Amino acid sequence: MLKILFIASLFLSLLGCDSQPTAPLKVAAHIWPGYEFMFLAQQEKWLDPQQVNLIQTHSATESLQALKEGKIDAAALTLDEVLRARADGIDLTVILIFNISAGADMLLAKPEFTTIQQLKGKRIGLEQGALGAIMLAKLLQQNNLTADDIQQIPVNINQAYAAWQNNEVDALITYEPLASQLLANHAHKLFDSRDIPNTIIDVLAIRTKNINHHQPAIRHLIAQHFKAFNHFHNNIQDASYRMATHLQLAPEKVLTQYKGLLLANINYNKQLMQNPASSLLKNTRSLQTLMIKLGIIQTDKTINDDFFNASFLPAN
Amino acid sequence: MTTFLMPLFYLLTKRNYIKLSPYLLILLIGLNNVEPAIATLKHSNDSIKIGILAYRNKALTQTTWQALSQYFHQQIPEYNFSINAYYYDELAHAVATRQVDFIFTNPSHYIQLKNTYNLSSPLASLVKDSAGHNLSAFAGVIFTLASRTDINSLKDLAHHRIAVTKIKSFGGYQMQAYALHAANLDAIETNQLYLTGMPHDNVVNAVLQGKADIGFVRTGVLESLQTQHLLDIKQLKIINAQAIPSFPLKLSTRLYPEWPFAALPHIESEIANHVAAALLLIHDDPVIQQLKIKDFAIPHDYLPVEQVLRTLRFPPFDKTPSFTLSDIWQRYAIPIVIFSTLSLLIGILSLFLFNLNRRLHKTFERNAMLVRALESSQTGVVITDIDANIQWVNLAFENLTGYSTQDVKGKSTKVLNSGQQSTEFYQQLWQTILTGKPWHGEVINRRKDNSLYYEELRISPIINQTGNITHFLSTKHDITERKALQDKLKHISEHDNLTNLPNRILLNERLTQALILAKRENNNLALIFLDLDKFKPVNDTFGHNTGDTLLKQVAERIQHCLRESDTVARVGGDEFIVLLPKIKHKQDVSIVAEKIRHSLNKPFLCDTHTVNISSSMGIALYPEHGNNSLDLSKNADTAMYYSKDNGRNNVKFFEYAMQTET
Repeated sequence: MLKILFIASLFLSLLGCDSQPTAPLKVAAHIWPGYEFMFLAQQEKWLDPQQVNLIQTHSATESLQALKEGKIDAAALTLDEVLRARADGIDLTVILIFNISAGADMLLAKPEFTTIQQLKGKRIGLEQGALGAIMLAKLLQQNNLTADDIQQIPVNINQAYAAWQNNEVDALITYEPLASQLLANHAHKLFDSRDIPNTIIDVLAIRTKNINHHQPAIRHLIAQHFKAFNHFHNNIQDASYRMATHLQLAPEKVLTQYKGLLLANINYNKQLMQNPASSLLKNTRSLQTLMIKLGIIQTDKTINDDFFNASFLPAN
Repeated sequence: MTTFLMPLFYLLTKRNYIKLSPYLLILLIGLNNVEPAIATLKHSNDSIKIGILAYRNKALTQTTWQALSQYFHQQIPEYNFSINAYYYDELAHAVATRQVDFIFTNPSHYIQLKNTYNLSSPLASLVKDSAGHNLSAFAGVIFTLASRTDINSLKDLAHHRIAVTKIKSFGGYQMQAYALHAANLDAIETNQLYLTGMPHDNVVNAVLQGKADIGFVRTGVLESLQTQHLLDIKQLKIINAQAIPSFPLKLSTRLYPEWPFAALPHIESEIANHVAAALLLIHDDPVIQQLKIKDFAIPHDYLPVEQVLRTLRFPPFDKTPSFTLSDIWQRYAIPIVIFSTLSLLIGILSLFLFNLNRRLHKTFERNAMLVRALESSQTGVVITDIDANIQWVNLAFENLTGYSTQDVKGKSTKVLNSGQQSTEFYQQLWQTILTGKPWHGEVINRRKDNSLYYEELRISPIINQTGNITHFLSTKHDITERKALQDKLKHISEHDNLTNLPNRILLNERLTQALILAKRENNNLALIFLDLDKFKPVNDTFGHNTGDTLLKQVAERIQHCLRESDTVARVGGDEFIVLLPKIKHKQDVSIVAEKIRHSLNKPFLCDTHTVNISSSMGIALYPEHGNNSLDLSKNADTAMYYSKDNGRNNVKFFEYAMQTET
């Protein structure tokens, strides 16, 4: 009889998995259409709070700070922010690509300005981060201007609307959903990320040393992101209404937020991260070169084997 | 078509038309209507018919949407437009018979009609107006009375009566059914449904009037009734309420795209283009206020609707697709492999369990048989633990000892101890059985009523697989009767039948014992041979019976003269031998012998005869006259004859001189 119990218990232990209670994976993200599927999953209670604690921050800067202080395990960031963090010694690994900016990041100017040349000597507001610096560097370079030709005004994204309204800036490097609000207020779009293709990429990055500890939670988070992602694509009507409140938009405006974004599905994620010959790695290297040139980072040793990890993507 | 109509004409000419089935009649009418419809559209004066599904009051729908025909005419002056409101089946029939050119219906109905009658893709999708909000989607509402504390979530829907308009209603049934499906809950049973028919107001009334516990309607119905002061929404409770702040109406399910506006396939694309353009521009026209809508937008994706219908197998997806085995294998290869492996494992384990169970059953049966055998055995059986505490006894034991199971269970076997056996006896017994060997012997035990009995006892140690003694099995035979018989036989063989005195055998035995003892203890003993004088004449004179009686009395008289330890035996007709095993002085023997002689000299009363006899005795002493029984017997005999020869009625000690004389 004992023998049977032994076999049965062995059998059960094979079926079950060891469920060691660990603290939930802490993930930070600010409001950005590409990250919104995580928040939709959270709102629809698909995200298990025992496994993943999704924390909303005000900006990428805040998320990075929390990462640096060890308050969180992972954050939704742009690729350049990951590069800079790694250069600063924060070990980060990219485990998911949310979207590639194809027009979503833009330079908006007050109605009176219609060309970039007119911004000479004017105040351009931008978030203190690599993204703003890269956008600025690229747009100046493409218009034969130098950094000295304009005044840089550091503005956090949560202060940007006020800065615009109070005329503290003449132009603003920004993104959705603020961009739509400003465009509705007659702002002029003078430059956007379509002018610098495959440079601004939003990713989910995790502290490399915390990966092993949180494997099931990471898998869960990414799976639920794609569940929401698929719901958005399968029933846009329902998803729009459900996402509108968090994005602080009217439901019919939700879809327009994704206008400038190439959303990466599971297959595209795999294609980008698993294929060593993919343009992603090449683009990351050239972004690194630009960032060194801009003085944002000092080392070109940040890209190595653990930079991308596609092993947490769900099977198709 | 001509060839198709031929049989009909044939039937008509045969005057069989009365028997034509209604189905054929409809077909006939339908076919006849298609061509004129196409033909009439070519003439700009004929009206283009728009069929609208009435989900509330048909007349109300008709009135409300009437303005749309004027708007279309205004935008497309070449054509006249007419609006007709239909309930579900009417609209389907109108499409089937091409009585309409455009339809405006709910999404699932659209998909059903599209699949059955080849409608166009939607030209535009409705955008409703709700207190200033643009509503391009709608959902299902699940509600009950606010007072129903027993109904709070989707799972409480089970077993309750649910009012719905129709199963075909997308917002009024199908969305809710899908929400249950998505929540992994059981599907609604058909007998739970209380079908009210259109419009949706019926459902609200059914719940308010208690005809049903729960109601399903589409979004907006409740708010609309409230606006018309036909309902206080506070009376109701929304089940599975969705918190979507940007959607202004109460809802319980996912949102689905609003109603599509579609063209039937026979409509020229030019007209369809005009209609679509007019719809997309409608937001600029004041007609939207009359229609109580906000706009028509470019058509939504109706895939989520189709998904609901496919998942729940609602029409037109209510026919099971034919699956081949390879389809199943391709789709579910891994689950099938896992399932098969698990099944195999479970099968093997089951077989193993079955086998084990059968073996256990056999063992159980065998054990039961053994227990029954032990119980019914005529031999007393006791099972004790290793400390001799009784665990189990059978009926024979109870009968033997008088103790019941309850009396002795858990008690030591010492309760049976009679004290007749020595401590050494028991020590030897324990030594044997504790080394794992069986023991057997005879013991005298005590019954519950204190009586003693003989038993033949066998004790077998029960040894387990590891070689340790766990129990003892004792069997007990009552041998008291056998013992009594043995004793009786022994007595008979050792005693004289007539006088019941020991015979020569027993005397010799006692003499031998006495000699051993005397030698060891340095004692003296005496052997007296006694012969009655003139006994023969008694027999001859009075008969043998009197002789026998005399002998009995002689025996008694001799015994009276002796101590307990002394023995008198009758060894021949009138010959007796007396053994005095412990004597101190020769005179003591003399005294005893003289006492006997005198007692025999007294007259005997035998069967009315008075008989006088005497006796002659010869005495041999140990060690003086011999140190063995033979010598002693011979010498006592010599002395006895000497006594007889010298006048009888006297006692003589042996002397060696006597030997020469004889």
